[in-house]
Formats: sequence, C-alpha cells, structure tokens
Amino acid sequence: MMIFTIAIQEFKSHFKTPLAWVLFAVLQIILSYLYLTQVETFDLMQANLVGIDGAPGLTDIVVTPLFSNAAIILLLVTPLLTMRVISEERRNKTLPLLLAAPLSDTDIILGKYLGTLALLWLIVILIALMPLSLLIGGDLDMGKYLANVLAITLLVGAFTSTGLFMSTLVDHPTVAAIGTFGILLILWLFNISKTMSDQPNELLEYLSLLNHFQNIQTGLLSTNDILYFILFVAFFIVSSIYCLANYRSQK
Amino acid sequence: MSTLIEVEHLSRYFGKLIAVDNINFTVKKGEVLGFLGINGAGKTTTMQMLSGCLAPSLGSIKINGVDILREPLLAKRSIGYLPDTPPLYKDLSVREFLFYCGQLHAIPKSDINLALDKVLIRCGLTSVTNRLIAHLSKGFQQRIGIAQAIIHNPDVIILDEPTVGLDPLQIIEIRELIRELRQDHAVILSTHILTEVHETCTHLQIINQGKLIAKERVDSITQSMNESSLIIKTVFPIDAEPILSIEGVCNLEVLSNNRFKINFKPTQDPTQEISKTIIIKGWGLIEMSPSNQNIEALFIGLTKANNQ
Amino acid sequence: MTLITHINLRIRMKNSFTTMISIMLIITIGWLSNNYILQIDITTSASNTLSLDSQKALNALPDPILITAYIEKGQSIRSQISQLVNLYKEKKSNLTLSFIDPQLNPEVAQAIDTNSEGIILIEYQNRIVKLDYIDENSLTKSFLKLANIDSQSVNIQPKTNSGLTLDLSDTQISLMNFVNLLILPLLFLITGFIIWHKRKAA
Repeated sequence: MMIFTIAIQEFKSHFKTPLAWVLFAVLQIILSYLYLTQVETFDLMQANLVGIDGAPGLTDIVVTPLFSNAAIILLLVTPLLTMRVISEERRNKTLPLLLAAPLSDTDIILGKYLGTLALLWLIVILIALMPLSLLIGGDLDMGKYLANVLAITLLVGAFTSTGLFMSTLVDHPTVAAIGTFGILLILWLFNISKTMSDQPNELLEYLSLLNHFQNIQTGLLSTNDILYFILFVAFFIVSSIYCLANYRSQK
Repeated sequence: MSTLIEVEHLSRYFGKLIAVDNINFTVKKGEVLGFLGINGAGKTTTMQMLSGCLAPSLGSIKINGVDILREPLLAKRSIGYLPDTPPLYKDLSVREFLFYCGQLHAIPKSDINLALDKVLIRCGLTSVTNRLIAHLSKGFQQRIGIAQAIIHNPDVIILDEPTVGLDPLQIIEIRELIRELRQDHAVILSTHILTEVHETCTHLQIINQGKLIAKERVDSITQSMNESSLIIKTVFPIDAEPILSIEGVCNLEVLSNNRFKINFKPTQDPTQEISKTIIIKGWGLIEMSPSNQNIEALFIGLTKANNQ
Repeated sequence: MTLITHINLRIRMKNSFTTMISIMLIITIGWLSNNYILQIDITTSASNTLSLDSQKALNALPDPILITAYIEKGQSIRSQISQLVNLYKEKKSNLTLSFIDPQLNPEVAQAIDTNSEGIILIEYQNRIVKLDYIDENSLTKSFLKLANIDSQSVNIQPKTNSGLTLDLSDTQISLMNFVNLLILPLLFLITGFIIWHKRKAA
C-alpha cells in the first residue's frame, strides 16, 4: 500500500511543474515528425514494393523505425526525469520525511521507481497511439506492432531503474543524469561487437540493451530477452535499496 | 506514568570520531525533555537515531516499549520527527503536503481529512492552507514542519531546534504549542537557547562532546535559583568557622584565592552580618555582590569544567 | 557471537550480504534463461518462423553444418544473416555460423574468390556450397543440394508481409500532420502553462 502512496505522489509531482508538459510537447513534435516522414517515404515507394517477393511492409518501414527512434530519444530523456528522484531529496534534506515514516527502504525505492515509470509509460502510450492512425488506410501486422510496444515498455523500465540507481548513489542531480546517460549509452553500444568483430563476445552481446530490444522488435518473443529486462531492472532496484540502506547506517 | 522513550548505552561513532558516547535516559508521558548543548555536541545525531533515520553503533532505543532496531516500522508509528531542516516539498501546497504526510504515517483514509483540519488549527496554518509552501515565510515553514511531525498524533515527538530562525512572536507561539502538546505526549526538543528550556521544558539534559554531563528537573533548578548567594572577595584569606556560624548561611564555596561564594536561605538575609564579621576580623573586604545561579550559569559551568 | 559489535556496521554487513545473494540469484537466473529458451512468434505474417520445407531440409542433414560468411566488418547485413541463421539454429543445434572479414584475411579471400559484396560458404561433410545471396529460399536450397535431394521441386515462398499498401488521401495525411505536429504539442504546452500559472499564484 505504502509503495503506491509514494508512487502516486511521485507521479503527480511531475505534473505540478511545467517540465513534464514541455517534455510531452517536444517529444510529440520530434517523434511525430520522424514518423510522418517515414509515412511519406512509404507512400512514395509503395508502388515499387508490390512486385518484390518478401518486400518489407508498412509495419517494417513505419512502425519499427518509429519505435527505434523513440528508444534513442528516451535514452536521452530518461536521465533528465530520473535524476532528481532521490538525489534532490537528499540535497533539500527532505529524505528524513520518508526515513522517519513507518516505511521500509524497499517501499521507498519501489514507490519512487513506479511513480517515475508511470510517467514514462504515459510517454510510451503517446508513441504507441501514433501508428494506429494508419489503420484508416492500411493494414498493420498487429503482432509485430504489439511486440514493438512491449519492447519499448520493457526498455523504458530498464532505463528508469538505472536512473533511479544513479540518483540514489550520488548527491548531485546533474551528476546522476550524466552517469545514467553514460551507463545506458555503454550498454546500448555493446551491440557494436556484433558487427565489428568476427567472433562476437557472448557476454557483451548478452549485456547489450539494443540487442534484446531489437530481438523483441522482430516479433519473435523469447524468454531470455524478456527475462533480461526483468533481471536488469531487478539488479538496479536491489542496488538502489542497498545504497539507501547504507545511507542509514553510514560509517 | 508510562515511559515512552528508553535509551540505554547509546553510542554513535563516525569512523574514529565519537559523536555520541554512551548516553542513557528515559522520557515519560507528559514530560518535555530539553536537550541542551553547544553546536556539534551530538544533539542532532541523537535525534536522528531516536527517529530511526540513523542506525546507532551501540546501545538500544525503545519507543513505547518497541525496539526501534528490531521492529522499526512498528516503533516509527509512534514517532513524530522534525529534523533540523524542516523536510518540506516546496512545490506542494500546505494541504497537499500534510495530506501526503498523513498517508505516509498510515492514518486511515477516512481519518486523514479530520486529522488534517485539526493539525491546521493547532499549528495556526488555516490562513495558508492552499498556498504553496515555497511562497511562505520561514516561520510558517517551521510550523508546517511541526504540523508534519504531529499530524498522526504520535506518542513521542522529537523536535530538533524547533524555534531556530523565528522571530520572538513566533517563538512564543511555538513554545505555547509545545506546552500544549506536553499534556498527552512525550516531547524531546533540542536547543541551544537557554531561556527556551526554562520556558517549555520539564526536564533538562546537557550534552557535551557526546556525553551527558547533567540531568536535572527544571523546577529543581528554579528552586535552587531561589537559594540566593553572595560572592565575596577579600585581601587576606578567611576562616570558614565564623561565617558558617552566622544564622541563615548554608555553606561556603571557595572559588579561587580569596574569592568565595556563600549560599544562604533567601528568607533570612545574612548579608549585613557577614560584612560586619569580615570587617571585624580585618580580612579586607574588596567586593561583595549578590549572585544568582541560573541555567546559563549551570550550562557554562558544566561545559567548561567538562572541556578542561 | 559476532566479531563486529557495532550495530550500524552489523546492519551494513547484513545489507551487503542480502544484496550479494540477490545479485547472485539474478546472475543465476540470467545464465539459466540463456540456456533454456522458449520462443513464440507473435507476428501475423509468421515472419520469424521457419517454413516446413526448410525444416525438412534440416532434418535430412544430421551431421554438423558450418556456415562461414566473408563479409566486411560493420555491415548491417551481418546481423541480418545471423538473424536468419538463428531461425535454423533453433531447429538444429550443431549448426555454426562464423564471420570472416575478407579485407583482413586477403589470402583466404583470394583462395575462395570472394567478390566485393561478400560470399557465404556452407560446409557439410567436406562438401561446400557457395552463395552470393542469402535468404531462406537460397539457404534451404543449398541445404537440399548438400543432402542430395532434388531442389528444383522446392520453392519456398517468401513471407507475405501484411500491409503492403497505404491508401490515405492527401487531406487525411495533412490532417495527421496537423494533429500530430501542431494540435497535440500545443495542447500539452497550454495545459502546462495553465497549471504553472495557477500554482504560481497560490
């Protein structure tokens, strides 16, 4: 119960400042611009596609790139939304409010996590609604579309957990944002080994966020890709709880 | 009366630094314990440990009979805590913030609004209920901090320097509030303002370099203040015998070479007799002044003695 | 009897211990999940499922198959190939794929006569088939050749993707532009401004 009290408060607090709204507007402009150019491209090339065997369809040319672009933009945006979660409470000395209340460290971390995640999932819904307008004049591979939505939902969960961890670890929101961005970018780029070397490093390939994201995007759902994201989140949540608990028992 | 706070052998080390060193005390219902000490004496550290925000190194804390380390969630239900900086979410309105505090302290949903209205009246916040906390003055923010600590009607209220940074009028209001709270709670407050202890507390505790160096009832100090005394300085050393035989004199303390303090009962002022005796004996009276012992003297005396 | 007597340090130790256990558990599950995989293809066009003909071709080849792709590093075709081969790998565990950069190994490249586009060698029981274009159709046909089965009769139809046409009028497209690029962002900005203004006044 307490988890949801904190989560709801955290979620609401984002809308009390103009930040979330400005962010929504900016994201909407960037992503719908990219999406609409893609729709236009498809509109121009569709005549050529009909004759080709196994040609990519509307879903491959419009939906998959939209979600890939959204992933990269959310990689930039998430650190900005998560940076203040715990570190600002520490700087403003408001953390004792939570520490002295009858809450466990797990309640605090999970509440903060879910509250921020809810905001990002709202952005995901905004993105997911965009391609549905195509149904007026075309056919979408709904399986693949849903796989894309699932992929970005899981990815955003992973981004948020990293951001929360950095915010718990360091006192300075900007440092937390840069740290989150760094970790995520490195994990994102691990994927390069796949095309850059003859013998790809299996561990690096497993750790790569992009790898698993793309796997789910193809529509072939496999347990290891989905578990990867769940374990990713679990790892950073456990680490965040560890950091917060240490804050209480500092040397 | 029931004991609400029980602290035993409490210590806290930060690396090699000893912030709090083996302190023991209890607070009963209806008591207001003033925690007195210079800056850095360990007041805030103790308060943080009592509130469960900081784990102690050694010792035990029982709140309402519940060990705060063994069952933190249960123990914290009976604590209201105001840290040295009031923990306020400044972009919320007063009502929004206090409502959230009520939820955090697990007040049942149906009772929150009732508790909220009560605390708003109690802390004099009714005129600013819907204002943003960021736009309010420091005095109001401090009151919101106190409101946050008492909204769930806890048995134990811990206030870390509740009157710091307030103007005299606000200080008086807050002192009145604390006196009111005393009726059915146990209150601990830390301060370095000496008159505050005299005004609001029933008990006084002085902490210096992490150690408790004095534990007194405030009314017993007030009592001893009524026991008047004289400071006397002479040229030559004096004998105690003739002075002690004067009616009304209780005792004689040697302060330094040829400086003495004579305590006497206020009802029988022996000042005249004493001066007469000293002059007759030819000890050479230089100075003779009344002295009143108060909390300030007690505090400074004890702290200095401890530091030497 | 514990050696560490300070409560805060003991709490710290306990905390570290539970965290370590949790992280070890996470690593174990991660390792297990990578070894026991369940997959499901949720695309409407079944674009991630191997056709029956391809599965039959694989069943005709019991021994290990070695696929070597001579393709330059950093080409996106590499990941496309591994994605395709992964479909086969699922049905046949002793199939291996490796990449060699022909520019870094000129001698090898010369020996097998690669062209600039790259080349794929499929090796089975010391016999080799060369491919310069790879998709499910060509790969399965090579497998059939290696299994000495007449491949002429088999022709694997590429997956028909749904949604090859988009029939939107110009007004519909400009309406989409209008709503997405102007109306929605403005709506967000105005709501944000109203809320900010209200709270500033409070």
